[in-house]
Amino acid sequence: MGAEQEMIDRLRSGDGSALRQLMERYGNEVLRTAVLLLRDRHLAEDVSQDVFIDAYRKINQLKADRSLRAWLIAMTINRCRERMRRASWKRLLFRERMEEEAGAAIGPGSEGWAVSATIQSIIMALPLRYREVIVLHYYQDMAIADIADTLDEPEGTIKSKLQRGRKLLKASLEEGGWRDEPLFEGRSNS
Amino acid sequence: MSRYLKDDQIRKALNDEMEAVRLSEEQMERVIKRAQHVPWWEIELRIPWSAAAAALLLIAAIPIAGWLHLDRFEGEPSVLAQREKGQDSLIAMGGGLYLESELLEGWNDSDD
Repeated sequence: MGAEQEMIDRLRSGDGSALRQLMERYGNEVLRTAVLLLRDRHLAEDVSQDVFIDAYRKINQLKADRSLRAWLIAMTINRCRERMRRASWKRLLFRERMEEEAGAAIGPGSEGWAVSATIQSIIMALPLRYREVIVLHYYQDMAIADIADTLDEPEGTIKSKLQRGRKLLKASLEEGGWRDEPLFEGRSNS
Repeated sequence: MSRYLKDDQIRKALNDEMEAVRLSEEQMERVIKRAQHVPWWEIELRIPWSAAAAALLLIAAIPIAGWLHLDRFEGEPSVLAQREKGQDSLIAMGGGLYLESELLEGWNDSDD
């Protein structure tokens, strides 16, 4: 906590090296979260850059009782939501073109094709309302209370979203060859 | 190897898959460059409460003062009308144009 506070103080004083340190510590987490939510590597890179620039410029808005990591993840989610809203408007206005692009993006030989049938692709296929909680729970390893705080939603809502999301995720994983935990794991291993 | 639907296994597999996704050095450099060059439209200004209140009062006072001033103008006789009153008039006579004061020159004296 002491090291984090020191980093925050340095960011507040406009220290560029503190920004680098911040990215070295949380950059991959922010980028991976954005990739899982946006399903697009390039957009996720843009979002990650915007998040760190915002963090550097708006560090005074960080509340004392909030951790730097939780703040960055909350900003990442908000930025991703904003991008998705913009993308849905674009889709509405330029429907045909967007559909063509989407089709090309997941074709054979593309990046999307290479990662198909992986956990990330299964998570990416979930509806956004479940995807957010699943990413925060499985990737960010957050507890329900922390997810509720990050998404600014009641804990009960998060619980039910997580339950439904997990059901969908597990159903897809089963299709991909994952199995339910055996009842007597010790005996089956022997 | 069997893959079970246990949270820990799902979490580990997801982390392994995401390992290749990394924020590159180039991207970090770009962020640092962008962060240090703040365009003027993105500069955050902190306006003191008292200054904001004074500016608001001033903005509200301008139209009121203008309206009061305009009201006073309307009460006084028009400047143009005053000028017209003292001006000579033109008179057309015998194919020529003459000033009224020129035609009356001498006539006023002979009356005396």
